[in-house]
Amino acid sequence: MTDLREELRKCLETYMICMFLEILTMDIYKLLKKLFETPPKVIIPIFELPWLARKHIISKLPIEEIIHFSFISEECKDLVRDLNLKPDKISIKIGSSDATSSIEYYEDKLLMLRFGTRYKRFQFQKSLIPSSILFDTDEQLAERIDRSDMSLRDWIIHFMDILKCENLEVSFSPLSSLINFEYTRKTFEGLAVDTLKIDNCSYEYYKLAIQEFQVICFYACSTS
Amino acid sequence: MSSTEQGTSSAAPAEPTTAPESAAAPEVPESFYYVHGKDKVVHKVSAGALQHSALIHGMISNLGYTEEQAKANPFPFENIDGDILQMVVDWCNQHKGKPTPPEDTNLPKQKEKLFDLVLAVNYLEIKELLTYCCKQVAMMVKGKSPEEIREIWMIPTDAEDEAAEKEAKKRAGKEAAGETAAAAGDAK
Repeated sequence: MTDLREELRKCLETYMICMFLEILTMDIYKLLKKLFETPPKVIIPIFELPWLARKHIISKLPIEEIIHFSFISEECKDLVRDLNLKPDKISIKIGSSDATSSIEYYEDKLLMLRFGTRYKRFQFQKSLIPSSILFDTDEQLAERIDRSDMSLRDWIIHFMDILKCENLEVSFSPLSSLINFEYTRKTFEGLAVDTLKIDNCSYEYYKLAIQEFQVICFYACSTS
Repeated sequence: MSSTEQGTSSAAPAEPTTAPESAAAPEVPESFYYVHGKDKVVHKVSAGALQHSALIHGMISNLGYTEEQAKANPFPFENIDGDILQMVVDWCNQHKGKPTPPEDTNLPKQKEKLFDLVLAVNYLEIKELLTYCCKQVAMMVKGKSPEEIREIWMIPTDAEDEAAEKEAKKRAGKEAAGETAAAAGDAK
């Protein structure tokens, strides 16, 4: 009788231990699951939203992000176009302080893109493809966009398209002569340049610029 | 229709600070309107809170809806889920007669509901709430790569778009051919 009782006690004990272990493992499992479980990704099908809401969302992004978004697909490009950003002008400086080219987007000067400055040397003379693009507002953005296949001309056309801006202002400086004029000519071929600014360039460069660009407005400052 | 009244049942009448001219005049009791969503649950909302929605405000001022009429016939918004309408009503109540701050902390935190919320707010024309919601949606992709943006916003590639367009054209062509065949059969 005592044996049977002893046996029963042992069985009960084992059962209790098993139950305890089961509860413990369940708790540990739940805890681990909670710790390592990634929250479900929130997906917003933006093109299923009404046009006005879509436009509203994109307009809430900073300008660099809007430019970034315009590269995702043709539909995205259309959406950026719909924003009607229309700046007064797009200014392109040929040869700025470190002999690079830049596009400046004028609407409170929100955005400036510089081409070819990443490696501190000029990249354009041999090819029309810029090896690097630098967004002044966000350097990391250039890495995210990664459009090294686009030439400066492609960028200008893209900007004119998405910003619905046809007013191009081209500025030359004494450092412009560091850039092969043939490259400049090819970059602006067929594009309607609205304003030309020539600041302190050599007479030869000045002559070339005048010959090449048929512009509405022209400003020259002391040519040597 | 189940008429579980929610929303501003305990809402105080309009604050005298927001309407100084009403301080001199005898206080007019605030009128309430009723709205319901897909779930048919009726929400009681004050006229002050409904000012946020250009759509409802227009309906009230153009149709000359009285409180009694509104009680008998709540505004039906069959295209809005009940929980989403509740969120919108809550937001309107919280911002009743107050200028909306530039950063709103009272926004619903569940991002899973954001899509439906944007749809509802856009439909109800609640400008401030739409701005907040759109800002939240926009911030979801800030600093993300194109692939990540594609995933979050479900943006098809140009190739996928083209394929879908071709498919739609094919389907439309087939439907048109079917219709002409049926019309020819009828004529015979």
